[in-house]
Amino acid sequence: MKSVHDMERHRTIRLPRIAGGMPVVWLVIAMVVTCGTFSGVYITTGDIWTAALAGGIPALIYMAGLTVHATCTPASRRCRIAVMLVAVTVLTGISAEFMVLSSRTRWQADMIAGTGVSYDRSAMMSALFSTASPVFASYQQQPQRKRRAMAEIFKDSWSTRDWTTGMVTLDGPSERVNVYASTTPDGAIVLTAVAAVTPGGDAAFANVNGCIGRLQSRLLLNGKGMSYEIEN
Amino acid sequence: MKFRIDLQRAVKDPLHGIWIACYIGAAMIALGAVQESFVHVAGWGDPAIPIAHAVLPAQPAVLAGGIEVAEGILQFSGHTARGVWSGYVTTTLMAMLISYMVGPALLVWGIRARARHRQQIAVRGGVPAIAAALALGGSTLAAVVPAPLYALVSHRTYTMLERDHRHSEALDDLSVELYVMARNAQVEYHRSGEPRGGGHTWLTPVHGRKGPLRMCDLLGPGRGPQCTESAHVTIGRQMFSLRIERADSLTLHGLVVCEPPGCPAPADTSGQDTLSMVVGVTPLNVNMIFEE
Repeated sequence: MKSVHDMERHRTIRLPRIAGGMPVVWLVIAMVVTCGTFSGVYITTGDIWTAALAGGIPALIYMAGLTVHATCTPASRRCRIAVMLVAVTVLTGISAEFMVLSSRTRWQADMIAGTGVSYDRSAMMSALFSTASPVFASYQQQPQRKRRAMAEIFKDSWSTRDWTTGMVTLDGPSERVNVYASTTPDGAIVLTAVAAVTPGGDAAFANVNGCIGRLQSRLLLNGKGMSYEIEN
Repeated sequence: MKFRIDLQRAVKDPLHGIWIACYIGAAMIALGAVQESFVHVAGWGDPAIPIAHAVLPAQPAVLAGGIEVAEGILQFSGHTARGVWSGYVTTTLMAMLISYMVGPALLVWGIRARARHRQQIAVRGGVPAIAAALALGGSTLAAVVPAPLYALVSHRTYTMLERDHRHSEALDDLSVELYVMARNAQVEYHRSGEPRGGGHTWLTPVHGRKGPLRMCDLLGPGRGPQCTESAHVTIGRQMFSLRIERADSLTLHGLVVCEPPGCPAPADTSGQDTLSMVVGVTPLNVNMIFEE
């Protein structure tokens, strides 16, 4: 004959270990592997999505194992089916989310960075032509017999600059673009625009102002007209 | 009557589904408050980083996407932040661990413990632990679900955005071409002057006489199909035409054919969907207008 105390003790259950039989050590191992994979890939590649996708693989394996354990007894059949359906839905959704968001945000980042290139190229082109056009017009409007050299007209329009240094800095359209001018021995003027921060296509390109790899455009102005060229 | 009995039983059962839903709701509100406090304490209100108010503990993909976009913004500003380990990266990793490991583990443990509790008569001291596990695990899982749904629902919006961006790039290319053409037209105008001064016109010297301004002079060497006097030239998807309005003004018109599924602008007279720009050129000024 069991005492009341014994009956009460037998009716009290022991709570299952975490994940119903999946020991805590599994969870810890999975977390360590995920941390290691994520950190290693991120430090190596510097790409957050590559790291997240790499770290997601051990997480996915763990969640799949967890789902299998979750459907073991003592859960009811209805409960097991519900857990399986929820798990499959969530895992599919998370995988799709990673794929969709990674492609979208990479596109967004490229678009934002590309906007900077487009913006700077337009500003550089506008700055060079705006600087050169009035000088060309002045040169062409001179009487034929009293024509001054193109370089002379240009230097007069920027008379405050010190032209003995070879290359002078002109006023740029914004802080993002710097404009430089120099003259050639045959009397032509070379205007060069260099982006202050935006990188160009060639990372090793040597810009005229000593920078490396920035956007650069060049406009050659002589008596025949203007020729515009994107150098980097 | 049966409903009232069921309700009375539910109220008395702390692990009933109604109560569990309440626990999960309360946990979500608490987690939201905690993460908002965390954002403010950490000083992550930087407008350049558009992830400050993302659901931090539960949406790793949103966090990773925020970092990717933030790197694009920093690159636009001339900074190179790629590959730098920061608090955002740590938070993304933590979010992965919490959302995909700790949260589901707690939830599964809670479900199984609740099932065992249902099979037995009583559990001493176990109910609060089960309720807490279900609340935390359930709230983590509930927070994970909206992000995939958003990614799928917003697909159409992003498709339109990508199309509009392609059109924007096409329009940028067209505006560059037209701008260079306009400046070349100004050069031709100034070169056409008489040796004694004056006499400027939008005509260009050809074989000792002055003919109409030619498209090849404006497009630059090698750009036009042939150096004709035609006022209309088509290069790839771009079409250009010029019209001399007055002695001192010229109008350049540029069209670019849109990629399928078409432009936001209506189709032109030929039935093609196009984007259009008009450039007014005077001897010294260039005025560009995007035609809607």
